[in-house]
Amino acid sequence: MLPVYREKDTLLHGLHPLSALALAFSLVAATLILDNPLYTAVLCSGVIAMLAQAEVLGNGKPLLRAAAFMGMMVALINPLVNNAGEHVLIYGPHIPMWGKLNITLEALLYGVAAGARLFTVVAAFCLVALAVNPDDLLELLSRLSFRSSLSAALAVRLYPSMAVEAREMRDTQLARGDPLRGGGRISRAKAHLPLLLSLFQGALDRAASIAESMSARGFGSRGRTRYRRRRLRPRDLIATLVSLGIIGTVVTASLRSGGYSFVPVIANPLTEVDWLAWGALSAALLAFLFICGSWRRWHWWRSRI
Amino acid sequence: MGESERKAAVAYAGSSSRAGRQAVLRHTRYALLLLAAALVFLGVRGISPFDAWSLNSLLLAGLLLAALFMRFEQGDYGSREVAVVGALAAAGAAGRVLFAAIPGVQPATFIAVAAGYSFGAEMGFMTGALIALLSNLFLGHGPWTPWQMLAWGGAGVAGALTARLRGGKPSRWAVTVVCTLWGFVFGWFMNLWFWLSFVYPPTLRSYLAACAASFWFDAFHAVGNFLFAWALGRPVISMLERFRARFRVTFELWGGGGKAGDDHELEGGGANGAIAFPKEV
Repeated sequence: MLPVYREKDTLLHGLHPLSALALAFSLVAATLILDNPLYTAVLCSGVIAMLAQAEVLGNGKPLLRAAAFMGMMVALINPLVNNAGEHVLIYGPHIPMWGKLNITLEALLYGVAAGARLFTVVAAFCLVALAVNPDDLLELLSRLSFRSSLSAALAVRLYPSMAVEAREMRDTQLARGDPLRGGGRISRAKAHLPLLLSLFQGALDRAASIAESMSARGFGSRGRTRYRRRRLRPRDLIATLVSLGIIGTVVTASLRSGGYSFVPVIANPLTEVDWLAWGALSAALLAFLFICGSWRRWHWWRSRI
Repeated sequence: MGESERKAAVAYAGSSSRAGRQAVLRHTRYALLLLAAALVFLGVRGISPFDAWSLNSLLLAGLLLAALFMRFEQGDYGSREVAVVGALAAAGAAGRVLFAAIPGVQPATFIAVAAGYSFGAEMGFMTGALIALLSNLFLGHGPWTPWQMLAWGGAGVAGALTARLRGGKPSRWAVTVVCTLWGFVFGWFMNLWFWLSFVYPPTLRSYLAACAASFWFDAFHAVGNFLFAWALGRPVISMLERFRARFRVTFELWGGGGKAGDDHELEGGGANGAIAFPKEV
């Protein structure tokens, strides 16, 4: 099942797209800037807990599985390309034009940490994709760039019917005995080509009729009306404050303790971490998760925010 | 004030507000490009606010996309162009789903190149960028989305440049070469964010290793693009050219003496009882 947005009764689904984006951006920025594994651990747990609070953990599983695979690839590639580090685990052969292929503990651990950061970033994107209505996102974009967002909105509207059309054409061809499934990759691709041509023709016909409808309704004339579906509410203020708190913590932590070093010898994460910043980050995430949970349980609180 | 004077005043006000909006868009675009350049400069000199190319590269991709979207916003595009970009992006995304069972083979690059070849760089870029944005709504968004938007948008621009080099004549060979090459260029470009963000140290050697790891994926992408362009290049470009010719149809009012350039004027002509005929195709 593909991970697509579904309306749910959670605080994260009820956020204004701008505050949801700010929250996701702060999480992504924190993950990418703070490379001490202790920060990554708290951020990764926080994002996973948010996905659970938004009830999208099950829906997002395919994407998270892909992210875990990519994280593993990162963990594998890093030791192969980076032989800096004092603790050599495997003395590899000398490869011409490349050099010694030694695997070091530091490069391996850097790869694992980078893989975990990649997983966290993808999970934060997953939160936006599954808990923010794409229509609301496009409505937000339309204030900045009207034509682009209109093209995107048209594409979003056309896509489901065209995907159904594509599937129907493929089923029809299969019923007629076309070799769409058997054979190698190239022969299957060749068998699919005529379907793409029909899809293309259908798309252009639709474009022509949509353009006529748009012109008939006065597209491009002055004084465009605008309807706002979403308004900023106290919950958006809370999410924005949490985002600002995370960004503030990131700035403070990077200014106070600097970067975390993996090479030539891996630093001790417990001594290198700025515990005040770590505590503030954890507190901000826990507070937001508590608000998300209480929003569902306490009706009075829910009505206030 | 007479009716004609009132109409002229309204038209003047409309054109001046449009010019003002265009200026705002232009300046915003320049500001975004300046910010992107500053980000690159600070990153290269190592005086970036944060020593994290991963975040800087994501911000850079976002700024470039915003600037290029502004460019489309600034252009003189009407309902037909907007609808075509939307429909082609939807076709590209549906095509990605159609070919999802065949790993590495997807028509997105071919559709972006064909759109750029027939409709120009801006529409080609928008088509490619929207294919990535839309298909990832269904296949999964991630930090790769802005980079995919840039890479497929770039395919559209490459298509437009090829058309310019060929003097606008449809050429199956040219489209096939560009599509095949873009299979690799796309992979190398996508490796950039991965390399900058999660591979240490970011050296040429580690970048080449990342490219070597993705070689087979890129090769399948290139072979798929070759197949699409070779088999469908000519019919699709001809189809798009015919459609573009429909954009150019202007109507002359029979008996009205005037010429109607757009649909609003045509409606007025109809109200006066005049009949519109296509003037040129």
